[in-house]
Amino acid sequence: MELLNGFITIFSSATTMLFVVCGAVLGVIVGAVPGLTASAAIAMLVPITYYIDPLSALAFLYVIGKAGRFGGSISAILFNTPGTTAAAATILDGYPMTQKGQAGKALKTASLASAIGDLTGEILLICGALTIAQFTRQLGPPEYFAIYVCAFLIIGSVISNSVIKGIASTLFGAMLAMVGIDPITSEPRFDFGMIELYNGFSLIPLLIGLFVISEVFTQAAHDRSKDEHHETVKANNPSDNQLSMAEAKRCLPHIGKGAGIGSVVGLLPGVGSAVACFVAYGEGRRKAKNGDKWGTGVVEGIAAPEAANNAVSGPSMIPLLALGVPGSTIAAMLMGVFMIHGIQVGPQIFETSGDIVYGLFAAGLIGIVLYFIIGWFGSAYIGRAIEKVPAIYIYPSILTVAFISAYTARSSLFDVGVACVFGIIGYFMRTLNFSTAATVIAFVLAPGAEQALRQSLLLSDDGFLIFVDRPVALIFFAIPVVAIGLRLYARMRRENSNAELLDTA
Amino acid sequence: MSSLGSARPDAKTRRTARHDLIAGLVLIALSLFLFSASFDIPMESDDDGIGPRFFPQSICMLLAALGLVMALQGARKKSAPGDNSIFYGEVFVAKVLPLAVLSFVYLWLFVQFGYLLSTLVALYAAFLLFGVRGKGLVLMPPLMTVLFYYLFFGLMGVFEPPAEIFNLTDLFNG
Repeated sequence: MELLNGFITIFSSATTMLFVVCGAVLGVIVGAVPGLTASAAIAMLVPITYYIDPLSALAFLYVIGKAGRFGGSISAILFNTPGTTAAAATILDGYPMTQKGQAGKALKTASLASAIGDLTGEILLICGALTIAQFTRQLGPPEYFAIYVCAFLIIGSVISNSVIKGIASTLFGAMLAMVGIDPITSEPRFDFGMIELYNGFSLIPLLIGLFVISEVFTQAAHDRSKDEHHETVKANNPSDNQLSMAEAKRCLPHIGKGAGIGSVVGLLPGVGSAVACFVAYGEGRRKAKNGDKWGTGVVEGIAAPEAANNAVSGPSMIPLLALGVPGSTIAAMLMGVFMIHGIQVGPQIFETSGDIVYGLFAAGLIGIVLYFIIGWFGSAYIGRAIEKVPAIYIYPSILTVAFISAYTARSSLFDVGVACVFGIIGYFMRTLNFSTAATVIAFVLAPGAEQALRQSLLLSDDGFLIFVDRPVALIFFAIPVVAIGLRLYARMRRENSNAELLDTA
Repeated sequence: MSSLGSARPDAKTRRTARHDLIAGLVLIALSLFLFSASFDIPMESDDDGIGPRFFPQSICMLLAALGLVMALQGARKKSAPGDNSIFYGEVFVAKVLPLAVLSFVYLWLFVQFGYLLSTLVALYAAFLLFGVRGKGLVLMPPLMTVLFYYLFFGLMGVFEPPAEIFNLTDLFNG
């Protein structure tokens, strides 16, 4: 019933509907431009949301995130370059299909799989968020602190190839969040006598620096002389541009399995679409009857990863809405938008701002339909149009927009300077394999974690032993320990087996 | 291939390890600096439980410990499997540093001359640095400058910061 009200809210407001449509179009385009991710686009557009109503703002950014994940498949299929990391596995079968003159079929498969995967994730979000929120309402500060620690460690340990670098990136973000007044005693911390730092770093310049300006720097460093020229391979016959019913039926089991994998991965903080798409591709190939043909250009090889990477979108919002703990960069940015508009995120959001939450769910569902239509009928045109615009024209313009966006948030030139500094830091982090995403998520999580810890200790007469008395907290403390332990164990086993191989050689 | 057991590390691993050593040392230095700065955080004498210094100091210690591990691994020419540094000093100096300097120059110009002039100059320089030449270089910067001006300051109504020396917008507005 509330969801129906959400649809009525969206359809009755022309402005909100316009933003949903714009989000779908912009998301597909942004996702299709190699190097430009949905996260970067959202980071640039967050300041705009100061000027519009909260539902339109959230719907706009949420739909960009969804459509952007699909958009990445367009350049993966047409140009052998994933528009986003989420589409990295789509290349494996997508580009071979283009080389065979079946680009139209590949793009339609990606559209269908993305939409079904996303729909699965969205249904899980709609059904799951409220259920989990009802449980999390009973949790106190000790459990919340354990959840924060769990999120920190899971994000830190899975987000990078190096566990140490992942956790260091997380701690760096938490350290940045310590700048500004103390949340309990209101004492200034690390402001170094600068009035601008009294309230801490603003999220927007941090996002723009770490995601957008650092990406422009990375693109400046990119050697374009090595870029391939993409010949258009025309379809030999009309059926090469169509997805037949028989092919769609063949894809359905892989789409279902991919959607399931993506939904589970989406629930885990920080893991993200890039992991989901490779897990789904590997699993699909292992189980498929034509597994030996995967990688040569088969529709199932596109369906599995595309369903998985889009299914991540909905469930990744569950920790944010049910706990107030963002598990992905897009969720962290949306949390910023909630805060800008004075909406408290957490289990109580379904009562205090239910109209906005259900409106957001409805916008997500409408967004899925919209980007499916755009993808099915227009992705080939979008892809060709993007290839005609040289990247060297795009990135200087993005740098300027990033500057103005950083200024727009608080009309502060200091924020522009902060964005520039974090642009350079972000470039170093990217090239040295640290994670800017972990830094941003930790920056958003850290104040809540600190408050939860200090409130827990104020509640307790036994100091840190309060956590031992709370079984739910202990479970959340144990999860990352097990996850990191398993990862280190797998690495040790791999190293030992490699060492044995070298010894026997 | 990454450093494994007794295997001799390859060039990629050696480069990553060298960068890890430097990054580890930077993390240690940053942590120590912030740890010492944390003693300037005022403490209330009746602080129950933990005070405002506890969290920042804990993070500093953990970050320093990770920095130390990273530096030690780097010194032993070891890196995690798949962890490859793609930082190249010469590329940074030739391509990224000029753009980074430009971004700060743009900020300074913004303060001195307002949006229009600073953006026009910055865009010309940015397009040049990205290798745009010919018609594109002549047309794109003024087009983009005007487009973004109307988008942000016109359509969205963002407050345009006053220029300290001279603002081209004042000239157009009479």
